[in-house]
Amino acid sequence: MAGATRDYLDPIFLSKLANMELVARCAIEGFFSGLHPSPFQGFSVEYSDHREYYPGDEVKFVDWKVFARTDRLCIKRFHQETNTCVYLLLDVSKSMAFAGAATPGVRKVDYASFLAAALSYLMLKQGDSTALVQFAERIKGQIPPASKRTHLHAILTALQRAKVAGRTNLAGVLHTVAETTKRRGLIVLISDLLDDEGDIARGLAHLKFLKHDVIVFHVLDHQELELDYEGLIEFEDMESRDKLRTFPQSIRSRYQQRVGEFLDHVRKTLGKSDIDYCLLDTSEPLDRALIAYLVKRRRLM
Amino acid sequence: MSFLQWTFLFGALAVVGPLMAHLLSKPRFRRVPFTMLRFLRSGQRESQSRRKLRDLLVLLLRCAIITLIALLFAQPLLHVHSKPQEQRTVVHLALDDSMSMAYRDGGKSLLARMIEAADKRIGRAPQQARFSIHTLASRRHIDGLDKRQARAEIKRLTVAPRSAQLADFLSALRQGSRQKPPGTRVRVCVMSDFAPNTLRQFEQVLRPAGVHEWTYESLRPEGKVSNAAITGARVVDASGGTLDIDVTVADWGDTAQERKLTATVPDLEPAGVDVHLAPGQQRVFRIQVELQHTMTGSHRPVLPVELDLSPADNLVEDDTYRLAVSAPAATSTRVLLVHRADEAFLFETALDALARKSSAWTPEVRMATEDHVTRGDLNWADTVVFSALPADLRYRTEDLEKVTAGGGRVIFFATDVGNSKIAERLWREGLLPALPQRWAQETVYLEAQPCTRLCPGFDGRTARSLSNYRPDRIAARGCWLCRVAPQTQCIWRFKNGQGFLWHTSVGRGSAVLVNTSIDDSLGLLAKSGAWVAFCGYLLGEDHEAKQFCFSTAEQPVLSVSDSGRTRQRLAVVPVENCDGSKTRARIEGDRLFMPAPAGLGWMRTLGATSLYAGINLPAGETDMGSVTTEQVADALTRAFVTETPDGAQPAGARQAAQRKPVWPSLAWAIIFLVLLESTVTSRLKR
Repeated sequence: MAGATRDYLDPIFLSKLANMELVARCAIEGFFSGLHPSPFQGFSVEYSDHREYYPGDEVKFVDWKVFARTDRLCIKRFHQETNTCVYLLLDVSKSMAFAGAATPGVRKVDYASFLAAALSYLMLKQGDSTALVQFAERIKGQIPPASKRTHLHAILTALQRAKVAGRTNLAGVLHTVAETTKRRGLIVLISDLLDDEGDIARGLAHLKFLKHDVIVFHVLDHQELELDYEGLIEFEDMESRDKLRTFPQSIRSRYQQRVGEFLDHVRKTLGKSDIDYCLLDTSEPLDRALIAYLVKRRRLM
Repeated sequence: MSFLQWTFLFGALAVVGPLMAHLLSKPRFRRVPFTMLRFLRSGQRESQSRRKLRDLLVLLLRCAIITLIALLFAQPLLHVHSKPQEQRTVVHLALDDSMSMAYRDGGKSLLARMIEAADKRIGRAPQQARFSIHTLASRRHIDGLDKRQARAEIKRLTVAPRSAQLADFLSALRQGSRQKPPGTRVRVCVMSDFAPNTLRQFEQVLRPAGVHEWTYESLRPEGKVSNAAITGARVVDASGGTLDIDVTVADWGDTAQERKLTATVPDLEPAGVDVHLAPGQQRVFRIQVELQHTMTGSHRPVLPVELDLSPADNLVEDDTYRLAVSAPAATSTRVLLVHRADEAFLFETALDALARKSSAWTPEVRMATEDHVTRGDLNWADTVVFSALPADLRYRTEDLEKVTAGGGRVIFFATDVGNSKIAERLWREGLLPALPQRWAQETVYLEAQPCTRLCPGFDGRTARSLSNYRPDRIAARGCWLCRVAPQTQCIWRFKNGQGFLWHTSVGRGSAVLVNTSIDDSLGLLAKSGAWVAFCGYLLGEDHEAKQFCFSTAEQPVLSVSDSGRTRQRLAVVPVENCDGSKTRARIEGDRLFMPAPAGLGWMRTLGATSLYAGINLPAGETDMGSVTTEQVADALTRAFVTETPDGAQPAGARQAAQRKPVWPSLAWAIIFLVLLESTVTSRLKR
């Protein structure tokens, strides 16, 4: 992917854009303009346009009528049309308000919102029904699934107005979502997963039990991964308000080891449940997340 | 442990600072919102306990550093008490190698017996003992010898032609005792013949040296002592055709002496007298040496006279005595007294007194008034005395210069300025040493004696004898303030700093200005008892025989002017020492300073006419007078103490209780703790 287009996926750049729709378009257009050739078109019955034939293209898509008229081999392209329903579960608990020094001004919830906006834009453009669920200790906001182009505006507005509050109760929310969704679809969970690992696994297993496809975007700040602090620090938990005084430098290695064990445990647990897992560092661009989604989406086709 | 500056110990109270800081201080924590506290907590418990431990360690280190710094400033001294079995032994051997130890008794000298005794004593000493060897006469001090080295060292001992000196040994003993390590046991053994000369020094010790143990070995002749010695000689007269010398001969032994005393002078017939002495007797014998005709008159050679006793006894070194004699010249000095009126009467009287005093020096006096002086008078005179500065010159100044060119002297008394133009002319031509310009009316006194040490032609001995008349009590009514030529030398001053006697060299002779009147119109000098001596000094009277004999302990100083015709002009002259080695001597004024003698014998200058100096034993060095054991023990008790009263603590005992400074260890400990503290602190921050 070219460097210039990758800049459009930089979370710091996106955070400076006031309009969430603009964020979504920037992310998606920037993302796709770097891909060649585009593998994500052609799964539709609605005509889109023609393009020149390249060796390797399937012959069945050659428009012979055009060839008869113009003596040029062209491929006929279609808009993708599916009936997949995508549920975007966005964590807006207080812990998602954390922003580290590596990405000043970009909170985890911002990063998650950018990702949700980009995915919504992409999904709706592909004709998928898209729903948005914002939650903390319980569901705080919900936009029911729809596939209309105008539905994007409602989702993006909700994302832009999202406010972090409350403690994380991911397991309960997952159970609620599992019980309330009537239609089988793709569950996209965007969260920092700061809850009990077992409860999370059980909640996700509940969704899998209902035949949902699940992809988990685990959003963590760089500081949360590295504990890159110096000096005497009094850490205050953003949700429980607990305090802890320490020399970070003296416990850094131990902390990194524990975080690594936690992530390994989550990865293994979700892998056993056939749940896709993608760890996202808020200091990195969004492309990894988008690729992970598209890979998952293609498998569903 | 004790402290030199114990008040600095209060500085240790400064540990309160870090203690309070540790107890009261709160670390400044930066508050940071975070999410994953559960992962922090697991490492936190371990970190917290480790940090507390480090905090405590840093606190202890800082307190220790402050305490050690306070201790360092207090200058602690550690009291070192060494155990008796760890004591080392230092044996100080004081060996008498003076000339009396050359006495031979039964074919073996006392020195050889002393070496054998010392060897045995070294053999009996503890194996680990160290030896210090001190030679009393040659004054060598060798420390830190083991047995083998000490034995080799004493085998090299020879007799030194000097007297034993105890002071150097005691000084070296005290210094060595101070520098010995703690726990050292100091033993002293003195080996000597304890001749009266040596024993007297032990008896006169004022501050005894503290030692753990002292002993002595008296090396006396076993039989009767047979030893006669020439202890001195004095030239009585040399003005005639003979050289009369009084020789003092002493019988230092226990047997009567029948000897022959012989005086030997190169190129002359030896003269001798028989010597009969009872045991312990000391007599003076006069010996007459016939001088050749050429050695009298105006020629004054320095004669090396060697006096010898024969036949030889058991100590031959003191049977010979050497003295160099400077025989006086039998001269007649022609003095022209130029006066205006009869003011030269007192001077003429003084000349008459001087002529009667000495048979060798006969002044011929011619008097002439200033108006009647002729060239013939000037040509006749050796010395011209002007009772006042000339008011008129009826002769040419060249005639005066002829007087000085022949080695004569022109003397001016400054009664008044006379004719200032003539005075200035004489001054410009160098015949007048200083030009009187202004009369200072004040009572002035002379210095006690002239400073003639640096002025040839003025005898130092005469100046010293002149000082016996106390000229510093003679007052003058004033003095002339003079203008002085650069080459002029002031050889006598008033106490107010003005010159009294000015001198300048003219040709082979000299010119002198006396800043007073010849008839005492300006002061009382001419009427005082010093007047005759002063006139003799002024005319350069020097008519006594002089002798040059020195002991080995002296530095020979000869008189260059006494050599008369040698007229040494060099500041340094080559000389031959007693052992035949060539060296140099320096001349300051009329004195010739010879180097230190290298034994007994002759020292002489190398040149056409030699000056001699006879080098003999110190007086009484070979006195072998009997000394009892009690006398020796009593004398040594005065020199050494073994008790430990104040001020006379034994050297070893003092060292056993020595206080050892511990500040170097403290300084290193502080440096180490500072480094450790910084390391721990930096790790604490991590």
